[in-house]
Amino acid sequence: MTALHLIPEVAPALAPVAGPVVGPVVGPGADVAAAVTPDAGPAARPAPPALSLRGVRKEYPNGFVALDDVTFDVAEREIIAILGPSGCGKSTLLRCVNGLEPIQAGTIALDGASVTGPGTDWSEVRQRVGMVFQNYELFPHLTVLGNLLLGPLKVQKRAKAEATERALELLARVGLADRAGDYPRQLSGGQKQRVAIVRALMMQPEVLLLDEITASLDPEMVREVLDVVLELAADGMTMLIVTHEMSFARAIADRVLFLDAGQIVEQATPDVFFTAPATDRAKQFLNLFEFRTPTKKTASGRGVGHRGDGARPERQPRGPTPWPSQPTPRPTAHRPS
Amino acid sequence: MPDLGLNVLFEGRNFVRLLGGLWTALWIALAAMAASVVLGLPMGVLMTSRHRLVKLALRGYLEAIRVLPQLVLLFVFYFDLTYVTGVNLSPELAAFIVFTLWGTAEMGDLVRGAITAIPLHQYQSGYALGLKPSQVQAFVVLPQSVRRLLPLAVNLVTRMVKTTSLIVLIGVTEVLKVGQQIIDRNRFQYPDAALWVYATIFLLYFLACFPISRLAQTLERRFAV
Repeated sequence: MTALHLIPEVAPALAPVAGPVVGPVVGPGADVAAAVTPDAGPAARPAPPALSLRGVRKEYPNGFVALDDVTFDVAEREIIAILGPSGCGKSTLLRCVNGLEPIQAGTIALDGASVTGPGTDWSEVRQRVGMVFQNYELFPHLTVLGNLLLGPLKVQKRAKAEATERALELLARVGLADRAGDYPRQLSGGQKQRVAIVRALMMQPEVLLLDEITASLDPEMVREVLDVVLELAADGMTMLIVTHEMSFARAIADRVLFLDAGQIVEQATPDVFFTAPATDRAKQFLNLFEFRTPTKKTASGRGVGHRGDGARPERQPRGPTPWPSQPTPRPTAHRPS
Repeated sequence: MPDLGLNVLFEGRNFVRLLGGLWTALWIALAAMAASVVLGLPMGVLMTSRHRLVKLALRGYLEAIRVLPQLVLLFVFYFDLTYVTGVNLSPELAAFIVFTLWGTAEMGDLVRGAITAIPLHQYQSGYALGLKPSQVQAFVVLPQSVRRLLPLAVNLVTRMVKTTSLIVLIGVTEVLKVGQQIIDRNRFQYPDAALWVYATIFLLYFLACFPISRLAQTLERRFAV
């Protein structure tokens, strides 16, 4: 799994660092960022973060504030999992980073260069920041190969032979070598999403944004997609991952950002976040993914059934979890299926 | 086989004349359709515009054309136009103009529908690859719109062909008119000529429209997403 080299272009100037590289952290969760590992040698220049957000604010015309003073850095080769309840602004955050949503305040910088000015060439930025969507969004009128070649040929003006060779190579590596001539409608959801990942990789991005890429998939297809992402991680791809797959986030992320109501409430390494979250809101959120027998014995006194009325005496202790009390997001991978 | 009404079709050049009439109808319908496609595409694109005034004007045009029966439009352009302006259109030209006005409105609405049916995410997916807005239109939106549009446009052709049966009323000698002439001319030799002539016209319309209709179905299935 190591020698797959899905992204051979990432030949970093820095020596590969073993531990998670946590950039300078500002914001409410700054105290947990003590685990900074200045592991790079003293000769290494202080490279600007691959991606840097400062005080980003996203407000919709109707006055709804989707992101409020969001500030964080992403180091090269770092993988960040963005967690939080539905509607907390996770997806909006990703969409702001590659300009699908304009922001109202703050700056976003790639490799130290701001991309939030009025003269931003978004076409150029988006080539450097790849994005994969929840619903794959392959182009239905093009074959798999056509989907993969559109960007390289029309945007990057690359040679068709070279791009085709690259596309087939990447398809083979995600196990879809024989599907190049198929149309998206002939593929399963998991296959479509793998094609969508390859399509983003074709542009040779520096940063990859994954927006709930397994949320529309059947449980048995989630794995094949996440395996591809794990390979990318092994190859050193810098990634921002919005996901509801908690165990996946814990395994792959160098750092977890917990968003609630448009703000970064907490950021920590996955081990810290999942075992000892610092904030109550993070605890409440993580509790949604825990399934306990429905007794009243909970740590915080509110527990899973947080509807307010703790008393439900005639409930069978071993019965199924009372479904209506489980709000979104659904813990897909943890659901007994 | 005495006095079989069917024989009326083979008197003189009757059958050829019927075919000629059908050709007149088809020719007007197809020419109007071609013009409608040329004019309807920009109209449909404009109908998706954000300018309220543009939208309102085109919407008004579409609704005006839709609420008026084609026959009224034909009379307006053939009789009233001459009466008011003194311009004397040939019935064929008047028919062509009316069918083009109608076709442009319908085509514009179809184009508008096909464009707005492309989900926003398809645009964003294109933008996310670095495509410029014009490239997204050219490589993502238009190809998909055309695929949605083609079966609907082909259906519009059959509707036009059928509606040409009205132009007899402004004096175009199309297939129906030729049929009536044959019936009247042979009223005494072939009293039941009407049955056979109209049956033949029925068959001719069917032969003209059925393949077009099938083509629409095939396209629809072929481009199904």
